[in-house]
Amino acid sequence: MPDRPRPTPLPNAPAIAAAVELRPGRYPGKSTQQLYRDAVTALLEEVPQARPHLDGLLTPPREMGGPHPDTFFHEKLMEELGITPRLSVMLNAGGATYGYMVQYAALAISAGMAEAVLCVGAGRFEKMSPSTAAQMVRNACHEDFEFVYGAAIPALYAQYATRYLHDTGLGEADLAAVSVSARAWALRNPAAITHGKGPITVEDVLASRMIASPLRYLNCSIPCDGGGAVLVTNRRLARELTDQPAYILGMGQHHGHGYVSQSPNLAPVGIAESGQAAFAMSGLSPSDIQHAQLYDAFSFNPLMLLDKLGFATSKEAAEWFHSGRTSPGGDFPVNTYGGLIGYGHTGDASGMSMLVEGARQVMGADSGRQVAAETALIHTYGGMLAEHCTLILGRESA
Amino acid sequence: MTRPQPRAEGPSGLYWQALRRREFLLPYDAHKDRFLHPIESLVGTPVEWLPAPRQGHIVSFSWVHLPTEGYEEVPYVLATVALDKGPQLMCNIANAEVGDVQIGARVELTFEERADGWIVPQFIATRLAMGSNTAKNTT
Repeated sequence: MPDRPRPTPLPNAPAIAAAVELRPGRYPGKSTQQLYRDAVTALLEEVPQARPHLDGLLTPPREMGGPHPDTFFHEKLMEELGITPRLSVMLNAGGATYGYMVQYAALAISAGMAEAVLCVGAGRFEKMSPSTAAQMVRNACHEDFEFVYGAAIPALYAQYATRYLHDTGLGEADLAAVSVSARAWALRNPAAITHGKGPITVEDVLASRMIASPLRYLNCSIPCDGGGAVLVTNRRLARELTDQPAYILGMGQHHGHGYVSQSPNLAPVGIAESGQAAFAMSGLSPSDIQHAQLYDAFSFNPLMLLDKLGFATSKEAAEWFHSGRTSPGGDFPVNTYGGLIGYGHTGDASGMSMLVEGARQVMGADSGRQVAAETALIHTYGGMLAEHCTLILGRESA
Repeated sequence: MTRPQPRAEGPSGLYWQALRRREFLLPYDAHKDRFLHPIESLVGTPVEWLPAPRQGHIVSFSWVHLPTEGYEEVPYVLATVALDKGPQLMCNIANAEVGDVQIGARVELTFEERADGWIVPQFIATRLAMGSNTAKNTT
């Protein structure tokens, strides 16, 4: 392998200066376009003085998961915002979309190409007609080598999950402990879909119906609608906009196998590489990180991510979930908004939720579930654990 | 509903057209003495398509309880199999019984007939494979 350049700290101290999310739920009376407007409005209500500085806009293709994505949506939103930005592009990498937006916004700010980059997304995850659902799965896997075998999305993830349990010696009760921790956080978050549903136990998860072994109903994220926005600025503007920005200290990405069936021995590729790049840029190590927001389409993801990112072995990670270390009051909080499992999975916008929560924890937002977070690690992925994105945020700039 | 049919586009066309003749061919990499997945032959290196190994083992699997297009009868097994000296292929396990569907279990190729003359490669536990060469219904 050739010598590769080492990541270095980012000039101009790019930071998240504001982060907002719409309440996840069902919005039958609103177009997806309106959800975008609502997300931008919510952000500008929080930092109205940012408006004249806006010179960057990143959006995904509107309704990217649906049958008719709008691939020029960023241009339309620019018109509606009344800006002619220095930097704008549409960007899509599934669940990793918004983490990557922050990365490219940070690079632009470091290079002086932009001062304030608005990253926005909204999504719906509706009950689909069988033909729409089939089209979505066709897009998400290989038509001729996976789809023809009845490869529903949970069944594709289950290939990873079955192998992960086999390789680590973990069991279904360990997957359940992740769902239990997520619900405990959701009970503290009034916006979470399962907020009013009461606590659950490992036994409840194991008694829920099987979807695709080893994944049961309560191991799965909950489809809903929503959206959010984050504003990435340089240090000077961030300090004008907020007392405590979330500085972007480390960023990494890595891209593994686009098709589940081609991942050797069903071990996802790229998590460790993505994490190592982010740690190298930040000069931090896992022991410096106090809390993590980990994309959890299914409950085995956080265990696998804690292991591959270097926080713990899978056995230890499972013990963290069982013992309450990751739950409210624990010393290594994970997915403090409730996770996609407890909070809701907003379709195209799902990758926004853990990003907004991680940033707001570092910014010290008064949420009623504040943790002592000098730093945050946020890991998202796109596709079926195919492309990885790690961000490390902190209260002090590099 | 009928089960999905392949589009058989690009290099995957060779694979599926051979299967219609009940031939199981894969691109062969002579340097590595290894068979490739049809999508690996996309990279522009000319490769020879040869009769591929018909045995392998289960790398992972799931009992799927979610009905999908053509898979209304649940549960069915979605599995990933590694061919001996060959690539990983997704498949269903035909005539699956719980005890046979394990990581590492030996499996062998079988053919499933679908509408319009398409033949879909599937796998069956080696102990059940003797004498059977067509699985009409894999669930």
